[in-house]
Amino acid sequence: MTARLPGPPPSWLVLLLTCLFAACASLPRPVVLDRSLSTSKSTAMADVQQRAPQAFARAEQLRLKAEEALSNDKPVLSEALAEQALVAFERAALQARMVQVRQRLAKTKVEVERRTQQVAELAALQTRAAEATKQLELRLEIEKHALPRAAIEPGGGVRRATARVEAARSIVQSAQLLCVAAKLLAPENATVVRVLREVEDLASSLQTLQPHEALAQAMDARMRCLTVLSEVRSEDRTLSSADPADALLSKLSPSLAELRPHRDDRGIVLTAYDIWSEAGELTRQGRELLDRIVPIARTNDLNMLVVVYRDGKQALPRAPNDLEQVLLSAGIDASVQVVAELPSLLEVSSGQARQVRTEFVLVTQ
Amino acid sequence: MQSIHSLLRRWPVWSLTSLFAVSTWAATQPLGERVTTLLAQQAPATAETERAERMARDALERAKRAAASEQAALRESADVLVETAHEWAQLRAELSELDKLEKRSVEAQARLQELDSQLKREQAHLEETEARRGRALAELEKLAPTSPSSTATPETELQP
Repeated sequence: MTARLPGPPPSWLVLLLTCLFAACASLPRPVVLDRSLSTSKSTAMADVQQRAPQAFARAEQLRLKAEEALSNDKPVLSEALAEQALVAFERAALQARMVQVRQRLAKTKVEVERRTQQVAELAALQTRAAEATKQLELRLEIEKHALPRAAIEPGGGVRRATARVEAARSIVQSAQLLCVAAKLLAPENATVVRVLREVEDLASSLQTLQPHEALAQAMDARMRCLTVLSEVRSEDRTLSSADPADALLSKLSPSLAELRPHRDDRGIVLTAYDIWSEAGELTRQGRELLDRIVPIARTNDLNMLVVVYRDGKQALPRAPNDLEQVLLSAGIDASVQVVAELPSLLEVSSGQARQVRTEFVLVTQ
Repeated sequence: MQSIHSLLRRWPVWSLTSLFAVSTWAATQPLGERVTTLLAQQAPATAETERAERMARDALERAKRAAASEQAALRESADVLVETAHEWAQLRAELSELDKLEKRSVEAQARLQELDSQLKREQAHLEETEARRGRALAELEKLAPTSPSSTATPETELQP
């Protein structure tokens, strides 16, 4: 008995089975759907889910709809929905970034507000401290000059006598300038007027005095002028105001650096060289300089003391008196003084030393 | 004049009405037109905004083609494509909002830094003034031990 081996299946059966398998196989997943799934499950999205939960939920819902569409045999719709879900995830990430930036901005704003308040408090404190310090320093200055001066003994030879006369001249000149500054601040003040007259008298009678007496009187005169200037200032100063000279000096320092702005007992000093022509009139450079200084004095309501220093070799500038008129007509109370050159505390080059030095003193309260 | 005041007093009513009108107009406007309106708005020219605009226009174009298609499956996806275009257009608008926010944040940071420096300067200035005051007080006490106390400001008054 021989067994019958089964033969190859009929071709119609093979075709039928292939069709059946093809019908049962799932549809291919759109790539974009996989991308939306991986985006949804990424670690970056965990943070987004916390910061922008609604936007994330919406994107996730779209992704689920895409999955559903695929399971409903709608691959084209599924692909479109998955694409929309991807954009929605991107928007959710963006909204999370916006939340972050908003939080940072709000925090910075609070800090800015706090700092502004701190700066204002510190500035107010500084104003009070500066005022208290200024009062103390004024008092110190007066007390120092009120100390009994050591007696100046006569004698000491010709050289010492000459030196004493020179020193006395220099000190009287400085006293005069201090008194003029005080007069600019308080023109009606009887004490200021009296002390200035006394100092002017002393300046004219200096040659008639013994050198030691001349020096002693010059020192006393300077002390008196400094005292009246300090008194005039403390009468005018209000407790709420900061030191205006300090504030103005820091404001002027960058813009007028070439004039070496600095402070002395009189106020803010701006020093210019060679602003007078041979004929004794202001040069173009001098006029330009004046055009820069006058508005500052006017804006800050300051009086101006102009001191033109000269030595014996230089021609006396003619214009100073005209300059006083010019300044007065510009609305500035001014006084122009031409004085003999004194040894300067400022470092000057040899070239500058040969030039006429002019000081524009903005007399501060 | 009185009528102007009465109008001004009713500003909440006006603003709510305007808001309602704007949202109604936006809701009735077809989505495709809303995409075009959004894309017409100014946005900073960055790679991100340009990409969003390009994608929005592309999605809108595909939506038009899908709507006109003979295949039902394609026609079915047309609305979703318009919504996708709308998503891109909104993303572009949000990018521009984020850009503005970031600029404001940078400005605020710069202001904070400036204030920090100012604070340091003020502190240094105050310390300097305090030192000057201390020196003046010491000198005054040396000169006249009893006199300065009357004019000196008590230390506690100047403490921050």
